[in-house]
Amino acid sequence: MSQQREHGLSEDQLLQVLHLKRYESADEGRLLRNRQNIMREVRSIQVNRRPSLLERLETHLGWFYAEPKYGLALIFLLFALLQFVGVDRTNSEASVGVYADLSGIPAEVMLEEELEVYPDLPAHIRLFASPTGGDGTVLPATFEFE
Amino acid sequence: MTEESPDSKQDDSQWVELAQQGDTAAFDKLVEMYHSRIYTLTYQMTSNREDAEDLTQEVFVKAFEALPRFKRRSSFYTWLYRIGINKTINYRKKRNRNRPLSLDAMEQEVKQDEIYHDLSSKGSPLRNLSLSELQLKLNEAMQGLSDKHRTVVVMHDMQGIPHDEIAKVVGVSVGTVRSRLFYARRQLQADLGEYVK
Repeated sequence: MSQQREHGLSEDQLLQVLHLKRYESADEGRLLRNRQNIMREVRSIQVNRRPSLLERLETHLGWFYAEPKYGLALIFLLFALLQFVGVDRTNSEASVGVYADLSGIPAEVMLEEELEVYPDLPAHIRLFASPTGGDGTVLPATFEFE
Repeated sequence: MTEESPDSKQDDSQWVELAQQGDTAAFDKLVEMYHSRIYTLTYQMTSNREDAEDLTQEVFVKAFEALPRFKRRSSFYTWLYRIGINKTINYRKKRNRNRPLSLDAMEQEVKQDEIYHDLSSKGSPLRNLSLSELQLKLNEAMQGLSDKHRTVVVMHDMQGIPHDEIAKVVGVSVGTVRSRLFYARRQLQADLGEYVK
C-alpha cells in the first residue's frame, strides 16, 4: 500500500493493466498480407542469391564445425603435406628459384660497370711473380728498392 | 493469448535444415509458425502496427539471409527472437522515437476477463478510464521507457519469459534483468499514476 501511495498505482494493479495488452490483436488480413510480402522478398532473394565461398564451405563442411578437432587435424596434415612438397621442389632441378639470364649482356659492359679505378703502380714494382713451376701457382713478389 | 518462451521447443528442425539449404517452401513453414509471435513482439515494443509489420518483415528477411550461418547453438525461435529484439532497438534508434501510436484493436473478450472487472470496479483507481483510454495511456507509458527497460517489461510481464532466458537473449546477467524490471515497473507505476490522481 505504501508503494501505491507513492506511485498512485500498486505493482499488482500495474501487472493487471499490462495483462490487458494481451487482448490487443492484429487484423488477420494485414498479417496475411505481411506474410505474403515476406515470402515475396525471400523468394526474390533466393533467385538472385549466390552463396558466398564462406557459406558454401559452411554448408559442405558442417562436420568441420561440429567436430573442430578433426578439422584442426586436417589443417595440420595439409600444412605438413605442403611443407613436404615445398622441400622436395626446392631441392629438385625444377626449383622455382629466380635466375638472371645474363647471356644477352656483353662481357665488356659487365666488366666496365663493376670497374674500380686503382692508381697505376710504377713499372718496377711487381705485386706478383710470374707463375713458376708446373703447377701454375702464383707467388707474391718480394718488394725491392732500386 | 498464450505466449511461449523463446526456448520452447517446437518441431521445426526439419524445416530449419531444409531452409538452410535454400528451400523457400520450408522457410514459408517457419514464417507460418513464428510470424504471429514475432509480430506481437515488435508491436509490443513499438506500439505502432505499421512499424511492427515492417519490422516483422525485416526480421524474417534477415533470418533467411543469415540462415546458412545459423549453427543451432540455440533453438531457431530464440535466434529469431534475438534478431527481433536487436532489429527493433536499432529501428527505433534510426527513426524518431516519438512516433505516433498506431494501436491494434482490443478484442471484445477482454470484457469477460476478471482482471478487467477488477480494474473497472469501484475500488480501482483506474475505474474512471474507459478501455480505450486505458489502452492508450498504457502504450504511451510503455513508449516512455528506454529501450532496455521496455524490452524486459515486454519479455517478462507481457510474454511471460523467465528472467534467465531474458538474460540469455538480451546478453546481460539475471541480476541486471531483475534490476531493469524493477525500475521499469516503478516508472510505469509513476506514469500511469498520473492519470488516476
